[in-house]
Amino acid sequence: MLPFSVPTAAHQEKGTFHPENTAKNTTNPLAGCNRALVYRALIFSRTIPVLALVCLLLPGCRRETLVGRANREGILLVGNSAEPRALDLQIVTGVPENKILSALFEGLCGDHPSDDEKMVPGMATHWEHNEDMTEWTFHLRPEAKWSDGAPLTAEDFIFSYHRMLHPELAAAYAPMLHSIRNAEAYNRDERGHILCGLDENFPTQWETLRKANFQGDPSIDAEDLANRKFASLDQGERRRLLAVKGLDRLDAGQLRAIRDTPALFDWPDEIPQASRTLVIARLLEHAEAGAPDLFEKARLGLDAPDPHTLVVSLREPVPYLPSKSRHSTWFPVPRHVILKHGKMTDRFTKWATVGNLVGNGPFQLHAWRYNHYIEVRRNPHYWNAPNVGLNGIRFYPIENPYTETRSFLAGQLHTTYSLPPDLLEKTRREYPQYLRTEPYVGTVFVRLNTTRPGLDDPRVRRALALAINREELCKYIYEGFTPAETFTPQLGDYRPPAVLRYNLEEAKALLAEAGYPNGEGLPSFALLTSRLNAGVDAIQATFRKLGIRLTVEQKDWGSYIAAQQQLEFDIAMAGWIGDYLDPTTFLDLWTRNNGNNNTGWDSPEFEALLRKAARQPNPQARLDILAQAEGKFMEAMPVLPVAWYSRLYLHRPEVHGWHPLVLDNHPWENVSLKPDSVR
Amino acid sequence: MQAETVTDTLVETDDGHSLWSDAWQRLRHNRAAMCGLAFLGSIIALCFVVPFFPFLPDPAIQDLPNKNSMPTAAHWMGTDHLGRDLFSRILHGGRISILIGLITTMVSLTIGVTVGAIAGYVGGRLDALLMRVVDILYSLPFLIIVILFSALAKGYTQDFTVWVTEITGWKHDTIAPFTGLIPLFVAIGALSWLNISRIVRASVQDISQREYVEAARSLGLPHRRILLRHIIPNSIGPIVVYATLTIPGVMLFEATLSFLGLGVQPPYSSWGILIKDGADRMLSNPSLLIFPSIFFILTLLSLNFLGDGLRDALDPKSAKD
Repeated sequence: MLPFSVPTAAHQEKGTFHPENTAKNTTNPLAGCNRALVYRALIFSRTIPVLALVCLLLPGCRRETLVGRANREGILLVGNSAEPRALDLQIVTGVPENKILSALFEGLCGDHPSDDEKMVPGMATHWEHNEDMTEWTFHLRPEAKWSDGAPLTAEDFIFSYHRMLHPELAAAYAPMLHSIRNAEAYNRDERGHILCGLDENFPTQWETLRKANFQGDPSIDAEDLANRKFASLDQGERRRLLAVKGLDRLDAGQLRAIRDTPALFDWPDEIPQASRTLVIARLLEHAEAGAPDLFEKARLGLDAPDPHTLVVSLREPVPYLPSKSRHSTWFPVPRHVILKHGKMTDRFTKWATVGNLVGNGPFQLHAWRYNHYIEVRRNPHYWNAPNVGLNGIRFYPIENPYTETRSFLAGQLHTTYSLPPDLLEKTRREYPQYLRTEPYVGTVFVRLNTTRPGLDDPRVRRALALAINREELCKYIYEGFTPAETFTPQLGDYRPPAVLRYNLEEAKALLAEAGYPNGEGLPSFALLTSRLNAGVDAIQATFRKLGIRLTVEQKDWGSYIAAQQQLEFDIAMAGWIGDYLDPTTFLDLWTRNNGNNNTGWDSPEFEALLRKAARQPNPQARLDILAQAEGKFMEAMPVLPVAWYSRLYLHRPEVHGWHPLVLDNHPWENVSLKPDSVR
Repeated sequence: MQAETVTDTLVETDDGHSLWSDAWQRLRHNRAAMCGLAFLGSIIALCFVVPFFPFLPDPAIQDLPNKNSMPTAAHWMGTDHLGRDLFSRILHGGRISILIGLITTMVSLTIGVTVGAIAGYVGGRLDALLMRVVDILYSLPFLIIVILFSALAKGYTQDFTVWVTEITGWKHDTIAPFTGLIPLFVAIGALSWLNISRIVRASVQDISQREYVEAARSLGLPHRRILLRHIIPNSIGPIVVYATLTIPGVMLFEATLSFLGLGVQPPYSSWGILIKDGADRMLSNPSLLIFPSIFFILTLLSLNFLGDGLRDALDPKSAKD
């Protein structure tokens, strides 16, 4: 039976299928019982080649790719590395968030599509400054609107900067606004400074008064007092506690205690008794009133003489203010929406979510599918809406750059966030039309938590810095990057001292000198990272050469940022991208309480140099002082610079209006898709 | 004389008929299973013995100028993206993968067979109770429980590692990759026994109705002996098959956990990690994906062959013919 059906099948395979053939088979009495088998054989013999053919042809007549469809719809598909922590522009600090926010909001000045140095009008049509560049007047567009149609006025900007600087919001990026007059005092909640120092009628000048202990003295050990009630302390303990906290941080009860027993607090001799009493009285009045917002009293350098004029007064000349104002921290936030969803100072409320978020940029938030994409669509109320080239942008949080590269090559993205350096050579060979390698103002570095035992010793930190072989890393791992000579990358005329070099022997000697020969005696450290990549392995191997073992701790982007801000890490892989074209965008980070410092390190000397530079009118002299400050910073080495970034990414040629920019802030409104220009 | 010879032969035949020797006889004739066994044996020997030979490079030593090299005399399978010897990394990673596979499967088998056999044999309220416990554990998200457990145990593991180094005087590097895995062993093992307990319970319920169990009972054998002697050996087929499926599953699961930062930490690796890294870099250096995958696939295949053979050998009734 079996041999019979097989030749039939073979025969049918060659010829065409005729119903009578099977009919003939049925006439054979032997085949009767086997009809099903014959049919099956027939079907298989015909379907297999057809299936094979279909399989072969399928890739040929390809389905339209995502990019093809997006080209038709005018939607740009952007690889954006990580799921944003939030879309509240006053809270977030990362590049992935910034990319989205710059589509949703616009600052006073806009980005030029092809030149980082040039400013274009944004919310302000034009602006002027006084002679010494300490007072800037921005003339806002009368037609400016929020994306819900509400008018946007100078008051909105003042509200935004008020919120950004509000001490209770604790915005990590608030120091970007510290150059506004009195902004730093307000942001750091320096009550004494605001209540007494800013009062011209106060009997003692602030220059003298500030010598009193307002900020607290962290060098005094008071850990034993941490959890005890003030009332239960004896005289000596009270004195110690008050000195540790400082006048600005005392509550009403403690201030009352000083009022009643002045000996509890030490004052410098030059402050007269009357002033002392007055300081305490004012602080007490403030504390008893429930510590109300000091915004009015702080008299920040922000003024709106009319709804369309914003006057910003600065504490020092800032020639690059328009450049700085392009950063997301200077963007306005919608007062009417924020206050609808909570208090001004509430973090992570629902105002910055789909359906609620109102912006003033070329696009508005359309969809946020967690871990999938964020989509923004045209904002019809944007002042320049008719000239916006795209209908929308979709940001994909693809963390793995290899996956991102594959997505791009499969036609799912127009532009990627980064190309893994080890694919550089292959891409250069096979896809030169997509490859972009551009200069980028940024530094890859290793952040140290200098409050950890071991890492609090500058000798240990310097030993670690000496052990990093930057040339080798840039040649084989961070391909296309430049070995970092210091923290701040090359920027205009700024010439910082090139201090970093590789010297393993010296590193070992230094470590031994610090009391940890071959790393013995050092606690074990964890290396915090948001992504396991070759850099992590390389740093681990580098530290191993000194006998220091690192375990690896991987966290998602949001938790990785949060862990650093709370100083809950030992050592972290980090990067910093410049926000504007001035070295201060790298140096200001390391001031005390800067939300992006996150090393636990600060130095009054370093900050004095920064202040001195800020007051220096001569540009070159100013840069020289900044270079000195950088030298101080590099002496202490709270971070280990590794490499200066290059921007390596893949980019489709149909994207127009996208030019190399060292800050990489491509104004989305100028980008357009021209698929026809490619074919 | 004649009588004596007869008894001798009788005794001899009686001797050679235990369950395990019968099974071994049958297994020996299953060529695929024997190949699998031989391969498994050699891979285990390779992974656990060869790394102690000095000619194999240290898997953590980076030789950046020599990265992504093709196989050479010094590096038999080439080097990875950091210039580390791939062969050495595969063997070192294999130790961890195989250990995880075997130990966690052991843990899950021990718990699962015990619970399943008791539930199936005793029945009634105890059965209902045990099976509801299993139901509840089923409803818990496996991954989250393992992550929670490993995260909680992390601090203790480090202390334990230090303690072991002090006690034994071994080098930290030798021990750290293994002690770091203890929470993983326990966590996966303690949660992956649910399926096996159900399978064993069903099979025990079936077998305890059989005549030979009735016979054993009527002979007055204690329950423990009935269970260990008659019921469990007769339900060994599904257990062995399930175990051979669990081992590769656990090896893959370890890769997931390592990716989340809970399993093996760099610079140590396992096959799962090597394959994940290799998949990332398959465009630039495909050998990073191919070589570890070959080891992984062959191990899994031989485990499956061996499992099939064991089932046939231990339970001739279920054989295909």
